Amino acid sequence: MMFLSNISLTSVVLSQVKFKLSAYSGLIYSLIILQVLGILFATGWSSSGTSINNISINLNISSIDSGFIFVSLLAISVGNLITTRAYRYDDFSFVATRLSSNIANCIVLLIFSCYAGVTTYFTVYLMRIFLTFNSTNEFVEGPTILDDPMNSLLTILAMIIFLWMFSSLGYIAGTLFQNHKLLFFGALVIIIMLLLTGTWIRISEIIFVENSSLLILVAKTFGIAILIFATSTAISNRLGVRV
Amino acid sequence: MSNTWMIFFIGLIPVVIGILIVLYITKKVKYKGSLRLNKIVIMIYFSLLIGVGIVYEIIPKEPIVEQLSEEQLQQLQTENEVFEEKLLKQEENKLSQKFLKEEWTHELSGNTLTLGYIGNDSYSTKVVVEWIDSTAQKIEGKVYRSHINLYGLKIEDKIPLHVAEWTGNELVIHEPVEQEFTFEQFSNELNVFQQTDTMEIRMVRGFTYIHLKVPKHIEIVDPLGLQMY
Amino acid sequence: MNVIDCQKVNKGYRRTNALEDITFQLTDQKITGLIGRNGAGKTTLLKILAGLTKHKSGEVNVFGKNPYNNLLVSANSILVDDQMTFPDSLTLEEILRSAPAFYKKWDTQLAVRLFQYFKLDSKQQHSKLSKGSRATFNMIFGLSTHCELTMFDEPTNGMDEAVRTDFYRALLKDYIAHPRSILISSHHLSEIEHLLEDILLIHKGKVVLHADLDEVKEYAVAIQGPVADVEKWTAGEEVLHSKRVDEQKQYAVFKKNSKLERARLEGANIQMLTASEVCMYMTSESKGGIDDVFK
Repeated sequence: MMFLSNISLTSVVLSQVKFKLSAYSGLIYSLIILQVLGILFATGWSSSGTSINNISINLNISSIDSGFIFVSLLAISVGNLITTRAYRYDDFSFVATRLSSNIANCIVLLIFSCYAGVTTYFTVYLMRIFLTFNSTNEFVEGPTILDDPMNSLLTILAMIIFLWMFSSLGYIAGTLFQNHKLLFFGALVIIIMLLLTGTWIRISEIIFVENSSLLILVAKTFGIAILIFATSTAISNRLGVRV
Repeated sequence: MSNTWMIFFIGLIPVVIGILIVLYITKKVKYKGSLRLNKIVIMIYFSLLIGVGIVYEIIPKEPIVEQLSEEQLQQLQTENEVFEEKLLKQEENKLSQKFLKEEWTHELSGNTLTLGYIGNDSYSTKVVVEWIDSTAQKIEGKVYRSHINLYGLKIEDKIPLHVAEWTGNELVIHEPVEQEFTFEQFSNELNVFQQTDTMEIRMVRGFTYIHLKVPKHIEIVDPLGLQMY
Repeated sequence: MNVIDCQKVNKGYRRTNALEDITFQLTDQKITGLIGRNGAGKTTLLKILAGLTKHKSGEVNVFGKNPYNNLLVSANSILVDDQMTFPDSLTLEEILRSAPAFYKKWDTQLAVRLFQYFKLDSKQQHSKLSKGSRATFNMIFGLSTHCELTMFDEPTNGMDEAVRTDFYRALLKDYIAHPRSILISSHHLSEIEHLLEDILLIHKGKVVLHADLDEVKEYAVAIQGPVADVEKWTAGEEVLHSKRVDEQKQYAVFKKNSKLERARLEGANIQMLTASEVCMYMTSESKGGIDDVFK
């Protein structure tokens, strides 16, 4: 008599997520390195100077942007990394289907994005403290979290969702590359062609630029990321393991 | 078309190079340390950053430069415009007295008054002459300066005034000595997400106005064109 | 009940056919040996059964389901081979500790005991293990899952003699304690013969024979005698293998049949074959042997 263990997709996905979080925990070092790089580039990321009445006024604005850009690159890389063979095969040493693997990856990337988004937001404070004690320049009052908590939360949320979207880009590129090299380059060419035509620019303008609020932008980005992950899942459905 | 290509590829190169470098870093440092160590690092790093944030918010900070809001800047701009308008109409009693910086009288020895300027930016000074019916040689002068604001920083006090000095019959306006101020500002905003540049006014250009009451028989020599009509 | 039911399964890589019309059923709670020569298609078949790759045509059912992308099959089957990978960021101990979340029947005690017995280093990373230790670890992992369908693809590759013996013993003991369907592929039948109940012999992507061990032994016999006699005895028979022993004598392997009694009476020297030999002769490429190369 056979006793088959019944296991639901949800519980497999949860186990995979838990497992992947441990397995990929080493990525923390890459994140720290890139955030430190971000801080180094952040001081005077945006610097402007004007002269009036023979007096030069320089204003250095240190913002999260540089850190965010570095971490975005990491998000793309990590999204790409976990589609590589070694990472994919690891899943199948345990219970997994391609669907559960993809969902788990998508969730893991979201969790990573949350961690990266929140920490990136706070790296600016590391810089604030450093500059406060080390700079002879005068400081301009800047917005603090307490002044506008909603706005701060929205910025963090936006960063998280954008990082997630970037990781999905890396993910779909990796999936395509693993599945069909030809398809990958084909897609690349199509994207470049689209980018060069005006309509595409117009479309991306509608999506990313013409938004009445950041929240709408975030919602759109979220939708795009979901779409990309779904596409990747569909593509990878015929990908063999240990071949 | 070729231009678009150029821009596209030039824009793409740093992104690709960036991704390659990051991929390299990621692969290099991928698995250092045990799971336990990683977990500890993750926790510590997170609490460190949050802690730093809290510490920064509560530590007493040095007196810091105030930043004006968009509306405040708009108001300064309007005040400046109103001032100039009124000055040109010579409605002295309506002039904002907070712009008045100096007041003096000078006794001319001849019938010519020469206006001189020492410095690079003579456009920063405007001389308004009001003719008065008088046979005396006395000239009344008032020095005004309208609001100056850069990047919304409240630093008007830090910008020295022009100095008007008489040497004989010549009124020489000295530009302040060159100085440089650097300010540090922190932003919690992500500029890449800024939908539109919200700061429409980055600068309120203030001027030094010299209001002279000059008897009608005096001739004004103004080689630099400081005078404003 | 059938654990595995394959009907006309085909699979090809590029131009070569790895599997051709594979049809067989596997009933539960048996240890079956999947025997075949190098490149016969054993690994491909196991990967299809484990749902790792997709077959081209035909029907594959494992627990009544198509294994490809099936969660039930994945949860109740495991394929242990030398390509199994585990994340480098986890130590062996951590890998074993994360397994119960996936495999409901995971036997922690067995895993720990085997792990200690084989003296593996719990702080080691999977990819840093030597070939033999990695195979040992994979085997421990596979056995401990207690999956209803446990498949081993050349499990003893790289293991030394002592570990091999221990492994087979452990497999047998655990099988007796927890009966389940076990499929072991190997090209050394003699090594695993004592474990097996059934043999599934495949050759060039086709099922050649699927029978229990005794039937396999009985399947063919060897006969030795004067050249002319041997030719007479085997005339019209399916000769699996034949070779000249010396000037006068001929050695032939052929399917057992009724003519055999007559041959025995006529003074033929009839030899029983081991299952391993039967399989070898059935899958040999030519009627001759390696000797023919040196003629």
